[in-house]
Amino acid sequence: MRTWVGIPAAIGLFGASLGMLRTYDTSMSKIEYLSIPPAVTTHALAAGYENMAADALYLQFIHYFGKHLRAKQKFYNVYPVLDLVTNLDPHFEGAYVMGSMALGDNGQVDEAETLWNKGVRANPGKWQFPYQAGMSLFLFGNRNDQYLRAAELFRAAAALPGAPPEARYMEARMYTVSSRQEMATKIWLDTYLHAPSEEARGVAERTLKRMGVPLPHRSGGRP
Amino acid sequence: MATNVTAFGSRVWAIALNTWRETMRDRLIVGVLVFLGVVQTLIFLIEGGMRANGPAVLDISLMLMGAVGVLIAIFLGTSLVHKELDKRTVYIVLAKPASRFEFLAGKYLGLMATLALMVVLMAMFLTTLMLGLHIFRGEVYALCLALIVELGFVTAMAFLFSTMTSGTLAALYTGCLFLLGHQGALIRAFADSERKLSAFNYYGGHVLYYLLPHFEIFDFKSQVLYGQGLPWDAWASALGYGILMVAAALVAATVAWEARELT
Repeated sequence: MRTWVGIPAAIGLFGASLGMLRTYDTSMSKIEYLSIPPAVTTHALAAGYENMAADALYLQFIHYFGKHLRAKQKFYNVYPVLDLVTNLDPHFEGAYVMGSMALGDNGQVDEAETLWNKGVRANPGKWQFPYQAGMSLFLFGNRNDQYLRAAELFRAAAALPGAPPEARYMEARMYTVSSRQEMATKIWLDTYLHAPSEEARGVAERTLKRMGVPLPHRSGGRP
Repeated sequence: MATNVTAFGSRVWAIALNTWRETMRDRLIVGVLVFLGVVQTLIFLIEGGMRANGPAVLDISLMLMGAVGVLIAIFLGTSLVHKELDKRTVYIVLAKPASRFEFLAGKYLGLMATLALMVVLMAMFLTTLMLGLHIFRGEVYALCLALIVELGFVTAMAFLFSTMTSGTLAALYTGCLFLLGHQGALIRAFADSERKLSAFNYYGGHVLYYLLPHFEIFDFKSQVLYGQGLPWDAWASALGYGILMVAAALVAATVAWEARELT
C-alpha cells in the first residue's frame, strides 16, 4: 500500500469513526443511568480495598451528579449507588452529605433520610452525622413530621461532644416551623439559662425577646 | 482482476490459517480457558450457596471475559509480528509473492479467529450459567459481539504499535491507550466544565476526547444486568465505530510496516 494512499485512507476512516462516535453519544445522552456493579460483585472484587472501591464509586457519582445538576436533568439510580458506597465505607461523610443533597434535590427526601439514618447508626459518636441529617430534613422536607424528626436529630447532635450551639438553635427552629411553639420556647429558655457560652446565651436572649417571652432571672447574668 | 483478488485472498487465508494454528498451539489460550472455567464454577457454587442474585455471576463472568480477552489481545497482538522478526521467518513469507499488507491482514485475521473462538466458548459457558441460575438474557450475546469488536480494536492498536516499536513498548503503549480509552467521559466532563473558564481547556479537552480511542463505548453490561434494555442504536454505533477504527489502525499499521526497513 502506497503511503500517499494509506495515510489519507487512515485519516478518512478515523474521521468516519468519529461520525459513529457522535451517533453513539447522541443515542446514549437520551437517558443516562448511573450504573454500578451488584453489591456482591463489588465486595468480592474489592478484596480488602473497600475504601478504595467506595472512593471510585463516589467519584463516579460526583461526576454524574455534577453533570446532571448543570444540565438541570433528573437523576436516576442514585440511591443504590450511595447505598453501596456507604456499605463499602460506612464512615464516608462526604458520600452522606453530597448524596443526601442529590437525593433531596431529586425529591427523594425519604431516601435521603434513610441514607442519613444509616450514617448516624454507623457513626454514633460524631455529632456531624445527626446534625447533617437534621439539616437535610430541614432543607428538603416540607411536612411537620419531617421537621419533628429533624428536631430529634438536632437534639441528638447537641448531646454529643464537640457539637456547636447551633444544634440547639436548629432544634428550637424545627419546633417553630412545625408549629410546636411551646417546645421551641422551652429549648430557647434552656439555652438562655444553661448554655456554656456567652454567645449562645446572647442568641437565646435575642430570640426570646423577639418571641415576646419574658426572660427569667439567670444567676450571675443580666435579667 | 478476479485472479488478483483470488490470489490475494488465498495468500491472506494461508497466513491467517498458519497464525490460527500457531495461536491454538499456544498453551496460553488453553490455560486461560481452564482458569476462567474454574473461576466461574467457583463463583457459581459460592453464589448458589449464598442464594445471592444471578446478575453478580453474570457481571463477574462478563468482566473476566473482557479482562482476559484484552490481556491476550495485547500480549499476542504485540508479540506475533515481533516473533516473526526475531525468528526471521518473516523474510521467508515476504520473499514469496505476499505483500506486507497481506502479511499483516493474515496475521490479524488469524489472531481474531482465535479471540473470537475464545469468546464463543466463554459465551457457551455463560449460557449454561444463565440457564442454571434461571436468568437467561439473550442480550448477553450482543455484549459478546461487542466484546469481539472491542478485542479486534485492541488487537489492531497492538499491531499498529508493534510495527513501529519493540514488543515490550508496543504492549505498554497499547495497555496505556486501553486505560486512557476508558476515560472519555471524564475528559469530556472536564472540557464541558471549562466552557466559561478557559477556551483552551474547553477546546483542547474536546480535541483530546475525539483523538483518543474509546473503548468504554463497548460496555453495555449495566444496561443488560439491570434489565434496562440494550440501547440497540448506541450498540450499533459502537460496533460501527469499532470496525472503522480497526480499519484505520490496520491501514496505519500497514503504512508504518511498509516504511520499516527489515534488516
